This record gives sequence, structure tokens and C-alpha cells, in this order.
Amino acid sequence: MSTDDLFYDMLTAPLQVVVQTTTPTPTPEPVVLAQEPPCVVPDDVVVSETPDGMFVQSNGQLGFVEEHITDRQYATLTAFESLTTVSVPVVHGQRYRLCGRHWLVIASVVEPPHVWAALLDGMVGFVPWPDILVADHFGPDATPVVFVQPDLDIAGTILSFYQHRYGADCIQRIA
Amino acid sequence: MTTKKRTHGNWNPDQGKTMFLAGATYRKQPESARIAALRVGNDDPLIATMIKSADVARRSINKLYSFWDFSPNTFQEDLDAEIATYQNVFLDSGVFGMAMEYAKKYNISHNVALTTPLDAIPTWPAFRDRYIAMMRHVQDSVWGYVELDLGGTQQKIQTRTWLESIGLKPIPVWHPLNDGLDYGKFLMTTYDRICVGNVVKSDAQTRKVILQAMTLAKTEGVWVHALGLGPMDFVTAYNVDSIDSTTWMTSMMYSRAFVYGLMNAFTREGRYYETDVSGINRVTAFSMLERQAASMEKNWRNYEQSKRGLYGSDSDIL
Repeated sequence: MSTDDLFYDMLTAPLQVVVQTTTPTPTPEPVVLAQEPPCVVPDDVVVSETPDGMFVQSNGQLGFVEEHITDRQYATLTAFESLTTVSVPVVHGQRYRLCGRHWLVIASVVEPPHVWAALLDGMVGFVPWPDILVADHFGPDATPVVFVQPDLDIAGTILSFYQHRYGADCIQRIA
Repeated sequence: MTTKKRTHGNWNPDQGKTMFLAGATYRKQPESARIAALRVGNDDPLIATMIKSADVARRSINKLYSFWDFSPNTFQEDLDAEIATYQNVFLDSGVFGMAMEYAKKYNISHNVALTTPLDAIPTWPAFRDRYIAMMRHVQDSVWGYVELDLGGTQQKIQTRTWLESIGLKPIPVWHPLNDGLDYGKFLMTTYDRICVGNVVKSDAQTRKVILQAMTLAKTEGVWVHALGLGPMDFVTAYNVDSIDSTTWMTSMMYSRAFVYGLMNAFTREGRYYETDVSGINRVTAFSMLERQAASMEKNWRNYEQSKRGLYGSDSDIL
């Protein structure tokens, strides 16, 4: 059998999923957790499980069982979100001038077209995938930098922090 | 500045961004495929070179193992073997897995199971005792080990205080969605390292909210490890110091097509690894995936090093 034939066989062979059967153990009295609704695991989908909570589904894909978020967790998440509110909604392809000095381009770093490339004129720094705290380091007096951030949430957060730190006027959207 | 509690382990605060590859590899392979591969490979200079090279490369790879990766009878020698093989070994308590088992058994949410009183979980005493034996065995030779992070915040503080009273210094875990922001701030001002949980099973949006809150709350001089966070694009946006993920080996675990496709690209006529009788294909593929994953860590460090020039060395994001 040639290597190609072997590879073809491997590709076309059905995925083997080992379902472990265990002897049922006597169930002790369940712990009553009032206020918490049960998390229903879809038995018809999940066929095996790893210790890390990862599941192989019946369609062969990896996945996770979606967690039910409790009221307390929702409250915590809401508090976090209020802490990290993004006040500047953005979309892909936008370019922003920050403090009249820096650029934030909301676009892919890797995938063409590299709309940010024209902004690199040799006299600026280039920071792909910038962190959320860049406003602390690149103000009106810092070396001019081009930031390229493909993630809309992170880009919006960066703009919010610039707005908070230097005022709304420091952000200028360039068509 | 107050002195923070030092956690156990041979870690270096200046080692730079670090990526751990989670999941046992060799020991879970049937019939010790690695030994078989070595035996077969000795007859073939190319394979022998590949395996030797892979063993050398492992000295620059970091691995994360969980309680569940080791059998009760052989965990000491198995742990010693892993520590001798890899650069850094990080030991996770595996409470996540125990909580998962408990949640499924009683049909409750996994996150609820994580905050269940310890006394209510029948398997807790045996689990605790075995993990303590593990921690004692490796406390100075591993990179670090994670605390028994089960129960609510008060329960976790009690358990950690008790562990510290018997001489252990585990890394505390903050589950932001369960524990709240104040508990995270408390841990970050008290300990030199913390782990952040609630990441694995959260969607991307929630992960970003968690990591953003962590970044804003992070204090000077604390190392943050995000449990179960893979090398995603948005990692660079947050002030996380180390990550771990099993995704590097999912193709080995679940997709034979991928593995053999990978091997096919490197196959030459007349070589042993055209067939997998000895398990050598698996061994070599593991090695290649390990290297691929390890190169991500190198890229991550290089990226941060490049940024340092622009930010200045006193930057708190680096």
C-alpha cells in the first residue's frame, strides 16, 4: 500500500470515539442547592469527556458544554462590564488619529489589504495587537506610533481610555 | 511596598511570557510507544537524530499536568520523569475535573459545583490527601503548584491557610465570576503569583471582560497565569504573564486525519514511519506539535521584547 493510499484510508476512515462504560455506583443523597437551576447536559450530543471539560460531540467536533451563569455570576459579570465599559463603538476598516500624533487602525494585521502599511513612513513605531493600556504610554509627547488592532472590543477600549485620559477631542476619526 | 507571600517552586519572575502545554503525552500512549520508537529508531540515523533532537528540544518546553494525569501508585516516579524531561513543570490540582464529575453526577452547573462546600463532596478527602502528597513531593522541583481551589472564597482561604500551616505554599486561584473583584485584588496584593480561572468555559466576550478586569486590578510584582487560555490574538492586549492550553494536542487526541496528514508531509520512501506499528508516527507528531507550540512562546517573548523598546523598561504592561 502506498503512502497516498494509507493517507486516503486515514482520511476516509470513520472517527473512532471510545465510550467508556462504568459500573453504576450507588447515589448518595443529593446536595440541595436551592436558588441554582440545574445545568442540563445534552446526553444525545456529548459522547466522551476529558478532565479539562472538553467534549467530543457526536458529530466528531470538539466543544464545551455551555455553562448556565448564575445570578451571582451575572451580577459579577455586569460589574466587570461596567468597569470595562466601551463607550466608543468601532467597525473594521476605521482609522483614528490619537492626540494628533498616533494612529489606531482597526484591521487585520495579517490578512491583506494592509490598509495600515501606508501610515508607516519610517519615522513611527509600529505596534500590532496593542494592549488596552497604550493610552498610559503614548500621549501627546510620545514617539508617534501606528497601532493595528483587529479586535473590535479591544480597539473600542483603547479609544475609551484615550478619551478618558486626554479628553474627547484627542480622538479624531479619519475617513 | 509590602512583601508578598512567596509561593513554592523554582520559577523566575524575570523569565518572560511563558506558555505551558497542558496534557499528558507519553505516559498515556499504549505500550510505551516512546521506548518502542527509540528501539526502532536506533537502527535508522534519521529517526535517531529526530528523537535525540526532540529530547533536547523538550528542555525548552513547559508542561502543565493535572492531578488526573498521574496514577495513585506511580505518581512520584512519573512526576520525577516529567520534571527531568521538560524545562518547567506546572502542577494543577485538577479540582476542575473533580467538580465536573460532581456536577454531572448531581446534574448541577459546573460553576456551582466549584463553590460547593467541601464536606458535601464524597471524593474530597481522598482527593485532598493524594494531592497533598504530590505537592510535598515536588514543592521545590516544579515551577509551581496550584491550590485546592474548591468552595467559596471563605472556604478557599481556610483551605489555603491550612495548607500554609503544614508548610505548603500553593498558587492561589481567582475565579472572577464566582469570587468577585475584591477577592482578586486581595490575592494580587497578597501573593507573588495567582492563577485566573473561569476562562476555559467562557465565551470570547466573557474572557475579554475577565482579562480586562484582571489587567486593571493587577498590582505591581504579581505574576498572573490564566488557566486554560490558549495563545490567541487578544492575549497580547492584557497583562497576563503565562498561559496554558490543551489545544496544541487536540489534533493528536481527536483527529487521525490531521496527524497522518502532518506525517505525510515528512514521509520518505523506505522509512520506518510510513506505518505506525511501533507508534513512532505518534511520537514524532507529538514532538512536532510540541515544537510548534513552543515556537509560539518564543514569538510571544520576541513580540513583548520588541514592544519594550517603544514602551520603555518601566512599563507595567510588560
